[in-house]
Amino acid sequence: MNTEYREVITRAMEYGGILDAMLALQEKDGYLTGEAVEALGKAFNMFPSQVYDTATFYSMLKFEPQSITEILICRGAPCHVAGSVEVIVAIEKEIGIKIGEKTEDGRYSFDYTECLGQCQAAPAVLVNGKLHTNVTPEGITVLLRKGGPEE
Amino acid sequence: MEMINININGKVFSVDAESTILEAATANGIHIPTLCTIKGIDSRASCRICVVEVKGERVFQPACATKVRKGMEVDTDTLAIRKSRKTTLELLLSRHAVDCHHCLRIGNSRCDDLDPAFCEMCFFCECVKDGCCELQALAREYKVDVLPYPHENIDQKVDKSTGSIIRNSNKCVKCRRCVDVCNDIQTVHNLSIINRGSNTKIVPEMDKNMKDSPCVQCGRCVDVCPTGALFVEEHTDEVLFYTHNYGIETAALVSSNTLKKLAELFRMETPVMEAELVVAGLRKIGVDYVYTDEVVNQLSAKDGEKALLKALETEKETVIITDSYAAEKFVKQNFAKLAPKLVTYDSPQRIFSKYMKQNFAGDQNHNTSDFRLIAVTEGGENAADAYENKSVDFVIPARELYSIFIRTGVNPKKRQPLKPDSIVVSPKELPATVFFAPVEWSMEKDIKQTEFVLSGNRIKAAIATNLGQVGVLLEEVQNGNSPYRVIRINA
Repeated sequence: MNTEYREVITRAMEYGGILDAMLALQEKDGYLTGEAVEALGKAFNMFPSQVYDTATFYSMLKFEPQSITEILICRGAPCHVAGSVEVIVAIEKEIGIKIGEKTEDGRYSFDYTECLGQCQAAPAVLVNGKLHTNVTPEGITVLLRKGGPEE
Repeated sequence: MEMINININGKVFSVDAESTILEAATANGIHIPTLCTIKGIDSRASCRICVVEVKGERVFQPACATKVRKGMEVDTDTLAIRKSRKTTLELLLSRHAVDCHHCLRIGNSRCDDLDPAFCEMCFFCECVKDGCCELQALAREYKVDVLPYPHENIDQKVDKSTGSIIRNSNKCVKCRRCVDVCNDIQTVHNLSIINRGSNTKIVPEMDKNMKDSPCVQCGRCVDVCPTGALFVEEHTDEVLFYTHNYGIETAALVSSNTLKKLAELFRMETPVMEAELVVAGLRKIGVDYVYTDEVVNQLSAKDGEKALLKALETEKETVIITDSYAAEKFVKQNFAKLAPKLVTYDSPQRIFSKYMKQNFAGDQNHNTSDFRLIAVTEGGENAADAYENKSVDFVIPARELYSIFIRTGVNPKKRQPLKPDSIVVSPKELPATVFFAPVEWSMEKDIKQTEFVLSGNRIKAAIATNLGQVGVLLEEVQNGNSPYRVIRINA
């Protein structure tokens, strides 16, 4: 297991730093495992506590298994002005959890993300990595009822 | 030392050119309140309590992290600054799980009532730091009474996994003191800050609980915590139960560092509280035998000397010797190769325990099960040893002893001084070499080097006074280029 992590990290180190390595490890497991953090610490000559400290700064890095449908809404100011709050309320109502939570059956998770760079078409929502812009409360409800990920 | 002139509060002072505004002001008797800064560690300016107005600057500057400049004009206590500090405190308290700031007594009381003793009388606040909390003192100074914001109820689990060091994140103000001590001074690298913004949290490595984390339980984070977020498990009720119980005898060891801390807590004019007064106070709450630590310190030193002599015969390279349980854990964790070489000897606390259990109980026909041993220490440094190795039954930090005195209404300052009990040892046991004399824990990076003579040989030695120094010294040993014959760890 550890050698696998080391390989992934070595490959990532060719083109980038610790963040790239973290993303590569996340791609492998779906989230950053405790062993992965320790492996990163060894590779970058850091203490595990420091690696974890760094990783938790970024909301795209996860530390527990993820849900089937991941909904992320932009936290940026333009999205806020364009009405992301209403969209959040609509999504919360539709899937029955508050932002930052995960449904018990593991089907949905809902959280903020950093600016998606789509300020010209705010508010922006990512559903399983697919970008949706100019989202309205009605639009997102329809989208989620259709079955989200396929869209 | 180059001196420059700066203007503080309309008066010109000549100050050290390398100092910060805070240092310059403090050196000239001007009080600037602080919450996060501690001497010996680079300032992080995380609390924003020490903000001051600097002429020409757009915003308030943190005094602890701003260096003085020639001709600088500083105001430390304008109305705007007072308002800013109050707002900061209100924001901190709105996420701090205590209701001590709702207390009517704070801010509305007469001058006499501001004595911490008054606060301790309250039956509603169960915070361990009540009466000696830095945040509470600031809230009192700035009259933070009713919060203009709704109080955010944060309800994180209190981490009691180690049984000695308790972490209550709900009371954390994110000042970073514990993180800096853990990483920069002790180099344990356990505590770290995770997440960001208002979700910022201070956690042991990877959000584990303290027991599973690399924590060595040196207790230094407890000593620096300004609030009740990190503390040593309290034993007030058990101690009072046993001291009030006629069937069970109790004996207490009061370490000399405690006296300094107690003088501070009791707001005494003298730098230390006389041991006789503490003895009188402890006797009053029902402790049967009270000892001071001079003799046990010497016995411990003698034990160290014996262990060292034995080790010098067999060990050809550097001898690493310690009486500290935390250091033992630290070496095992970070220098696994050197761990079998580690020589341990009995700490004063363990010597006390052995003496009481063997000699004393035997002499007086007591059964050891009818005995309870209490060690009164300065901070949290020996709590883990007591909890995990049962060297003594209870470790009472000075802060808790103070709280016991207040709660039982015993004021040691007003008691008739009493002589401590004496530990009888045969004169041939003593004295030991000065090398093993008690050393205090310090934040210094410079390692104390020393030379001493032991049975005719001159020995070059180093004394490490914190775990950071241990790391540096043992790294050298591991690489085989240590210049020392003996390394004594006192951390």
